[in-house]
Amino acid sequence: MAKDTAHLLEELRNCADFRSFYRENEEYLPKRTLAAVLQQLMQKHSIKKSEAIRRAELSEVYGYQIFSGLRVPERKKLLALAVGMQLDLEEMQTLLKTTGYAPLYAKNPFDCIVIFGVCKRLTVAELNDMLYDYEMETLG
Amino acid sequence: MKCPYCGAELQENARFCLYCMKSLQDKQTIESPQRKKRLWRMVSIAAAAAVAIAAALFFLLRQEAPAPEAKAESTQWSESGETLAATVEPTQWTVSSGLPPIIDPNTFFFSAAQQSKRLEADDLWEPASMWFPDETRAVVPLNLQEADCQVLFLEGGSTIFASVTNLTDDTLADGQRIADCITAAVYDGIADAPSLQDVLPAEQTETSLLALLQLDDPADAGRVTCVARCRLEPVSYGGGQQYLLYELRTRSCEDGIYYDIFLYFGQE
Repeated sequence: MAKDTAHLLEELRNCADFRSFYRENEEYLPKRTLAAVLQQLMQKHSIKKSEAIRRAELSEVYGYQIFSGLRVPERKKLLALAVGMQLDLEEMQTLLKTTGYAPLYAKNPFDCIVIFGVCKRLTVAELNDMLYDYEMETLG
Repeated sequence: MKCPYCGAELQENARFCLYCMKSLQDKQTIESPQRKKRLWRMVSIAAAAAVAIAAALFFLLRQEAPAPEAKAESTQWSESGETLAATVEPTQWTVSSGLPPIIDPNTFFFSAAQQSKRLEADDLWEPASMWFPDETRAVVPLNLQEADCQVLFLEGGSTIFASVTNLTDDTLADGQRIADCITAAVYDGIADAPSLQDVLPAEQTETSLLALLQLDDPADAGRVTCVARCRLEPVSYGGGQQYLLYELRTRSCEDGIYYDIFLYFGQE
């Protein structure tokens, strides 16, 4: 049975010895690469890489390099790719957290706009227009 | 003190004799021009002789060094200079994509050399001197100033990235010929494989590229701009489809505009 984050955090706070904690809970601490997570999401949503890259408005070769694990994108580019893959908010947050990126934070103005865009299924171009209107850096 | 010439009594630190007007300072030795010339000639001859001896020793030692072993026809080849000894056994390729490799590095090496001959590009690069920093990355020396060429074999060789980078206006066309060789090498043996030559622009100069971007000033191109991309028709391979994507990008640097060619061979 999977342990949720709150449970793990509680155990971590109370553990006396980290080694024993890690040994007992290693299976609940996935070590997945970005490429592997993206691959899994692509299969889940049955999307072609080319389609996701095109919708994310990224350079094609660069997009393929991300999917192959050759490149580690910055957070904005990953968000663009996630929007291109048409992930919902929960999937996007999981993607960010499991691959070591900061999750979207509603109190951050940039993240706020991205969250709105994801919930409303906006395209990257539409999101970029909004970000530009509010004088923020665009995605991608 | 007494004058050494006339014997008159003089002050201690007198510089000349008041009576006979002769100078009492140390005489300077002035070399005769002829003597100076002879000295320089001897130094020049000695230096030339030293250089000649050094050159002779260099060539002698170089000839005595064993010649690099010819590349074997098998999957192994021996270390020579910067060439990395590599043996990539087929079992080391774990296929994660479910497709067999398009081509493995060893086969690519031979294929690249053959295609280079066929496309008359031997003067541009040296596939025979390809070396592997690791088992997925091949670096190929180029005879183009500042340019670099790498080929990466990923996902068990079912995905291949290649790049020919740091090209200038003068070397862009040659870089595209190398890209054509790489494409031909990767697809070697696959029937009806596409040819990059069919889709590459016949002529691409800075002027035409700027026109494509509708820019007047090269500096406006920005740091990185993708100026051209094309996708070849996919080929059926191993139960799936592989296709080639070509991208040409420009970079604005302080010392001018550079072009980078990227190739992707893989699934859509």
